[in-house]
Amino acid sequence: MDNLYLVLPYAPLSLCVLMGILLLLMQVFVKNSQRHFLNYAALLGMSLVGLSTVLCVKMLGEISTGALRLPMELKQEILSHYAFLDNFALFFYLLLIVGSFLTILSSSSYLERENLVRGEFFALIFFALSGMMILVSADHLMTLFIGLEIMSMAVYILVGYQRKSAFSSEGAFKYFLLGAMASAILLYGIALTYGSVGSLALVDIRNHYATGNMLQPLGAVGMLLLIGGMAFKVAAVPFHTWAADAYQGAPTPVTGFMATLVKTAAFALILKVLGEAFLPLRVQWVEAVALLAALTMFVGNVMAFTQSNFKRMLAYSSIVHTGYLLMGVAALTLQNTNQIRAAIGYYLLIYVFSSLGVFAIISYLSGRGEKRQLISEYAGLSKTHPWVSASLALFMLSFIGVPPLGGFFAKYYLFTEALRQASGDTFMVALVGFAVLNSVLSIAYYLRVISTLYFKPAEISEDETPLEVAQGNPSLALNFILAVTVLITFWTGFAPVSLFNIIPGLTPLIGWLQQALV
Amino acid sequence: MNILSILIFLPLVAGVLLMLMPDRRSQWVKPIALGAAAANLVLACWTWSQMSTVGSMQLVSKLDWIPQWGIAYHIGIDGISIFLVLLTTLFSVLAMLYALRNGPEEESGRFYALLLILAAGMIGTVLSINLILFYLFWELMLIPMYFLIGRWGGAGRIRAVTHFVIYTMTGSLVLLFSMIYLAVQVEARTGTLSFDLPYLMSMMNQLPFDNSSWVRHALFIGFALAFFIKMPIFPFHTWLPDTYAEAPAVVTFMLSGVMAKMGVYGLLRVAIPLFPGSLEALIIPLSTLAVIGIIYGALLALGQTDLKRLIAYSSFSHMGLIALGLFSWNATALNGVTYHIMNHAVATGCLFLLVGLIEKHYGTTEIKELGGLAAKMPVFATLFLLSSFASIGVPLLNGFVGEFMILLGSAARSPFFTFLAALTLILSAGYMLNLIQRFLFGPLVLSHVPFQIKLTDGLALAPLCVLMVLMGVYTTPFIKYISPAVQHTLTHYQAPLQVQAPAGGNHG
Repeated sequence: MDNLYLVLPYAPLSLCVLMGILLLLMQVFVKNSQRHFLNYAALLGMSLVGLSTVLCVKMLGEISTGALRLPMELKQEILSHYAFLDNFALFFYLLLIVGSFLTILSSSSYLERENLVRGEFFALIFFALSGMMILVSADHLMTLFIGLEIMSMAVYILVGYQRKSAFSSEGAFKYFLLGAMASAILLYGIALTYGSVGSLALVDIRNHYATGNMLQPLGAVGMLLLIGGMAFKVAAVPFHTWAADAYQGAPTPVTGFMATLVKTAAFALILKVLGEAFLPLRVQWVEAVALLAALTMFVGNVMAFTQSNFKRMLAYSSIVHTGYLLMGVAALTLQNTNQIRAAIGYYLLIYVFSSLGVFAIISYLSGRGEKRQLISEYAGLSKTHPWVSASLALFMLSFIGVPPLGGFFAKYYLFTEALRQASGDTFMVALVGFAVLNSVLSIAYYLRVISTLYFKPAEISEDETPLEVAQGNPSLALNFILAVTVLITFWTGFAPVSLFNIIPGLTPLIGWLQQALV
Repeated sequence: MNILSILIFLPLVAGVLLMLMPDRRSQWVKPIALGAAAANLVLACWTWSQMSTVGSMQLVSKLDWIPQWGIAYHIGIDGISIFLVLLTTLFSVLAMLYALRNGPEEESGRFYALLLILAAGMIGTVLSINLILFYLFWELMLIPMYFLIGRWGGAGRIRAVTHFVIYTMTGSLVLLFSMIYLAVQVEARTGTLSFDLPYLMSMMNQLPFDNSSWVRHALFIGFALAFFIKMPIFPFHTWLPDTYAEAPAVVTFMLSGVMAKMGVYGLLRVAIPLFPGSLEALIIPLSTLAVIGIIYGALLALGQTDLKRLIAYSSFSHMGLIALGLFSWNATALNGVTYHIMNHAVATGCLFLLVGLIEKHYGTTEIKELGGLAAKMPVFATLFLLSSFASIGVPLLNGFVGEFMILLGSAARSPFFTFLAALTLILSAGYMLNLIQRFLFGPLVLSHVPFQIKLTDGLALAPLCVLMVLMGVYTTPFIKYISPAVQHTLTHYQAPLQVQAPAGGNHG
């Protein structure tokens, strides 16, 4: 058992990389007629990665529940001094792994439909995941950057995976050019920070500024560039221009992957850089981040309202959610009692699962070649696909923030914590108020989806096959994804303290989050 | 299990089950739905019989839900909320009875299921003592309404319902923000985050801003806005005519009869008791809005050519009177408000049901296309007359009692506003009599055959008509419970705040 403890911290990441390579190799040896086998292999691999992570969580729990509860600083080194496995990392590991698992499931039917089943697709997902894992466990700006780049490279290719589609190529091209630019900015920011502080370890930067060192112009420019680069990665306005095109062009399962997991990883990056390294300088960056948050929410809402393409609408709506989360980042404080990190984690958790559900549905409904992307083309869906449209309506209501769904408690938690931190700070109160107003604005376009599904009769023109004929029945994979995501959306919102002691309720979940992230 | 929990969850569970029921079993839908609604009505009556006439919360039950956020499943009932529960349960039964013949044919299972969920949301709203729980049920009430109108409404339904939902949700989200802000402010002083209404009320004087500060007034408005929109109060009424006109008759019946009253209840139970000082400070603008609503609504009703819209505006005008009584915030006025909530629901609800019959049989609600119906359909005409008179406030019918008490109470506060509000008696008589003249007694315009009121429709209408008369002559069983609860509300929530009792003088 002791030997296992030595190996275990390395297991999730190495398994992930290993699985990626294995899948690439399998692609060579598996016959064309047996391609679906790759799918199962990928799912199995992801389960193994997940299993090893769960073991890590258990192990860390065992160590820290000794006689004296060890502080959160307890970390397992995995890449020398550059990356550590702590509760923060493990929370994101689990979220990312479950999300990737669902992405693989939803891409399985997509790839078969488009005749694109290849090992590389799954390998790229694993590589992207390994990048994210490095990123969320990093403790050093250099490691962070490397993780970010591994992730981004894989995602650039995934966006352009539908090679024959002009949209896909356009999206990939824009994403790649602007992404490379942002990486360069980020790297320059890292370099300037090094010039100013003399170290790139997050702890060193934090200590440097916490001990009263003033922010030099060099360091200030570095910090600003870092914020800009990160804002690009999470698609905050005005660095958002790539998002809609990339989201629209990418194969829908990949869009789901980008909108949820890449965003989650990027927020982990922000939490590390602003919430850890530069936290002592909060006064200097908080206004910039708050301004970004306000702009992001508002512009996202206005743009989402004008879209008729579902994927583009969701792209902008995900920008709006970025805005809320950035508001949470602006509310970070030095005190340990501040639970805003847990609130951000909780928001991400709910956002990831409901969005994955939505994108799985779109991937199914859009049909071969993703021809049906307009919201209006889903009219009357409630008659032919009651279960799918009920789930979609549920996710929309959750996004609006209707209790008792997960989205409500996500917003509630985030707004409450932001207000708690803001007591006496009118600036923050105004920002939270602005976020509430933006939630109001967002109702309009989410409701439009529901009313299209339920209230409008189906319009079938002559040359098109009706929706139900084109799609076939929902696959087992889709039903599974919907069951999981719907359950999570309900559970995160409604679960009582615990249901007959079988299903752990909301309270333990929040408690765990607080322990993991605060 | 607490009886109140059964009141909330019986219709909710029945509704969800009906929603999941496969189509081939649709013959079971109506019996199950009606059975659940009737059982709930019986339960509500039984609860009423169990209650004593003390003013405080009774049958309280409290379970922790999310303790670290101060969210608890905390419910209770008093002499004010019991009548709203009775109203809701009675109205759900009547709505379903009426829907048996006049409800939609398509997907009727969903229709009844949504009606049941709607009832659960309203009962939950009325019984909650925890603010987040209140908010949860408040929103739960909106979702079925959205689907009911959007799915089964008239031609312009999608536009109308979107307007309605966006309006109400704006109010809700502002309410949520204000609730969180208030709780966090209280937490900063006391160290406990709690959304328990009694707790918050007892801590209101700990807040850093005093009774006259603008922050407090802004918070009050933040709380009240959602309720103003739901009632609605001028100028937040623009969603009303379209929504009332586009919704199916049964749904308009629930909308005007019960849902609008939730706004009154919210003000009475949450917004004003939390901020009595702000009510004092803002009494003049608020009363002005109420009076504008009364007169403006009545004038608009005078100009309508459509039956549904006319009654919709008349309902809006009467809500102004209720609001004025609420703002007067003394015992007489509040007794009147609670009593008049029921009167208004009964009279307006009955009118909407009758109009629904007309719409179903003749396919129009344009007054000029109808006329002279009294000669051919005496029963229908009598019922319509009775409910119009109740709505106008003719003595010996219920409307009079409520209006009289409200005007009496508000006269103690401000004779000027009361004088303006009393115009409603003339104006409402004006538009209603004018309507009756054109609609029932004029020359016979319609060549359609007269229709009979069928048994189930009669069963839906009869209790309402009985109530109109009964509540007009025999007020004791109601006032006996309302009055102590109102006293309790007034004394309990003003004492710790040292707000001056209304001096009876002219504040205006």
